Amino acid sequence: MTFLGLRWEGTRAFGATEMRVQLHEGLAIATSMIVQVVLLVFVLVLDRSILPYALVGAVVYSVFMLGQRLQNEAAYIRIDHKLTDLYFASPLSAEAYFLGMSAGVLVAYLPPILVLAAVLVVVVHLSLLAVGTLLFVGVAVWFFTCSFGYIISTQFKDNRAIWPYASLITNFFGVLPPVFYPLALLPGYWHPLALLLPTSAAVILIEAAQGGLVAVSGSGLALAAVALSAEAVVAFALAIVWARRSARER
Amino acid sequence: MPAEALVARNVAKSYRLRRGLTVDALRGVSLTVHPGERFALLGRNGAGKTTFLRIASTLLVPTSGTVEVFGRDAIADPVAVRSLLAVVPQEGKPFFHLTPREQVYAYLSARGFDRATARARTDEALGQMGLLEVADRLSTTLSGGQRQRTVVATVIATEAPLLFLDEPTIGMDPFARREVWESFRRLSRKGCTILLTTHYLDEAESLSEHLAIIERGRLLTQGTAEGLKQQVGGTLRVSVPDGARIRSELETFGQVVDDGEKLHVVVGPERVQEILALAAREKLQPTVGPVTLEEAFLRAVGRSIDAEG
Amino acid sequence: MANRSARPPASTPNRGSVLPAFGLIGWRWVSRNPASAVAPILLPFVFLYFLRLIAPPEYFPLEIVGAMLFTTQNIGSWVLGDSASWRIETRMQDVFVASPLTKSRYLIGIALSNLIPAAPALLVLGALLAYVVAVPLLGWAVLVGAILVLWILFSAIGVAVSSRVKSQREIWPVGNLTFTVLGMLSPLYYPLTILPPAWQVVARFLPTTYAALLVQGTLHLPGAVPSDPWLDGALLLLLAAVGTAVALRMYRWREGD
Repeated sequence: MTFLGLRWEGTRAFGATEMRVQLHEGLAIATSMIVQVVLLVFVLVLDRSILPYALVGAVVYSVFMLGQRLQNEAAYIRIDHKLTDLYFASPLSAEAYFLGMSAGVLVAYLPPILVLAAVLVVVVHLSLLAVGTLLFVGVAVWFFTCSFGYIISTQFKDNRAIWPYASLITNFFGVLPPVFYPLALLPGYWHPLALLLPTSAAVILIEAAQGGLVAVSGSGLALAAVALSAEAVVAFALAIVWARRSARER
Repeated sequence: MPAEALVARNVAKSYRLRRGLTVDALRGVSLTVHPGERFALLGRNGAGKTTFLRIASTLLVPTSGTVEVFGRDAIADPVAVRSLLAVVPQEGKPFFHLTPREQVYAYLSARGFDRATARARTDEALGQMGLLEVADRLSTTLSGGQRQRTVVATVIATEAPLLFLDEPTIGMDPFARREVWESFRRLSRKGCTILLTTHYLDEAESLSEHLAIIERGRLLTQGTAEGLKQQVGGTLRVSVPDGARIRSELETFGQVVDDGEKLHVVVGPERVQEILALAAREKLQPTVGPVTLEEAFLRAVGRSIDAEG
Repeated sequence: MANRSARPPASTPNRGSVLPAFGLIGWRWVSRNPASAVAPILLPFVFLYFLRLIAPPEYFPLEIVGAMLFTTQNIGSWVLGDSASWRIETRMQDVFVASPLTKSRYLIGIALSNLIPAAPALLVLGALLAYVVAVPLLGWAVLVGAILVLWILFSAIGVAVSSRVKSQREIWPVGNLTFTVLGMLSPLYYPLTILPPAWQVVARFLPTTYAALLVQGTLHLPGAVPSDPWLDGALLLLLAAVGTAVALRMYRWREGD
């Protein structure tokens, strides 16, 4: 099976394998929600009025965290198990390996995200348009975060060295920008940056689709949508190129 | 009279699995290692070598039995003997973020050596392991064999009176293995006692003064390599490829071992001509060689050291 | 029979030493992975920034102290990671066990090697605290004391948990669960009194709560709960001593103990 000149055979089989691997780690799946819960607790304790924003942010952040999970998994398979060599020396293409792993992680970690999304729908009374937007931005953030995480994972030789970078990336994309708090709390001169960052752009688009949560001009929303889409596509393309290159280098 | 370096009596270890099942990893192993001796525990994968070594080196508590290190009880009071021993664990790796020089120095410091001694011993151990050229390179950039030698250097640098080495040359090339063997002999000359596990027959034969064969948690036989070979009952091994059709005749010469490709029989020089004649009649092409430790192992265990299961 | 025992067995040191070995291990970790020191500096500020946006501004000094205690507590999570990795992956723990280094000295060593990457963060946060409030000498002493107690306690919890982890893959979720939850249950970033009553009861069982109350009270920070610093200090020491003792007992140094 080829598409866009790339070979995708084996993606489904490898994705299913990876999903089974992930499902063996119930604790990791359960604890993938900890930071979101902690930040929601902060909000509940300190300023309950921004709960709708924090809930939207928690869902987007959870999708973003899939990339971090993939980053750890890809590094672990390569460094500890040394299975990457085995896969790359097989008919499984580098692009199928990357996409299969991304899909496997997504399926395994989807249940808690869906629970959180259900809470969001119920608490915020999310409109149909907002739900549709959530789906669209969710897919875009997933493409971006998995691609980003995979590329980062190839840069390390020691698993321990990845963790500090992982937490920096998570916080740079997930906690600093207006993901868990309203855009209005951020000084105006940072707003363009917030519209450009994939996580905050995704949150702002959902909030705008819901109506009444965020005041951003039409051009601002267009910028966020274009930026998010472009980042997802470019990151995905880069990850494919990177996966193929690192496979060849081996 | 000085105490023995290691005395193990009836050491047993069972692991409890789910559903009440138990696995007996060791079933009453007894052995004595004399001071200054190089002693090899030889066995197949899963035979119980590592379990015994971990118990003797205070890393694992046995289910029953006693272990004494230089006359002190290593089970009841492990702290008392730990300054007298050091261990190369199986598949050990150096710290990824240190260089070999830092790795060895850090460990010697942790064991309480002063700075000058630690530095001198570090250089000496790295030199013996052929690592001086890469001594200041990060461990992550070293080959698998160099990493293994770094771990061995870390431990031999202690010159502890009793050294436990669990498969110490695994992953090394033949040249490096010989260098490592020589360093073990040097340590032995300095008075260190060495207990190593291995499934390399050449390593056991070349390095050890005393060896014991272990299988399914039991110590089957022990002695010197020559002594074990003599127990085989002959000095020459005749190997007959595709020899199934003359098996019954071969069995009249002695115990026949089938490795799947050849039949092997051990005889004295006086009977070799008879077997060669028998094989020639059947147009088979046998080979003749001296008895090795492999025959001793086959005789003791009933299967090759590389056989699985 | 070989008998070359020229050297008496007692010629090797019979007492391990922590500072030079684990100082080197910790320092090299930071010097070769600068992000390992940068991340702990930035992380509390990310939280502080978030809290600054959503919390009353008068709580800021209290949140800085909370960030210092949270950073200290997080050392336990890194200790867990190192200890598990050294046991499962590199097997260096075996090499240390079969040496004169005792279990408690190994704990101090591994805790020290992980204090090094946290130290810059603690210093920066301390400087920020001094900038936003006047801290008396006694206040600094109490703060440093509380940090030392939590450092040992959570490092002990880290090694104890690490000895029960079966695979490297469990390190991240187990550490995340243990240390984040313990950190969040205590009133580090907010006054105890604004928490729901049931939560307050649970928090009263945690040593970090008393560390926070002690420091907040000693420094008279806005939002501090009126309490007896002697009692808070005593409860902190008591809970930390019990916690450390239990953790050390749980910690499997020799397999099968």
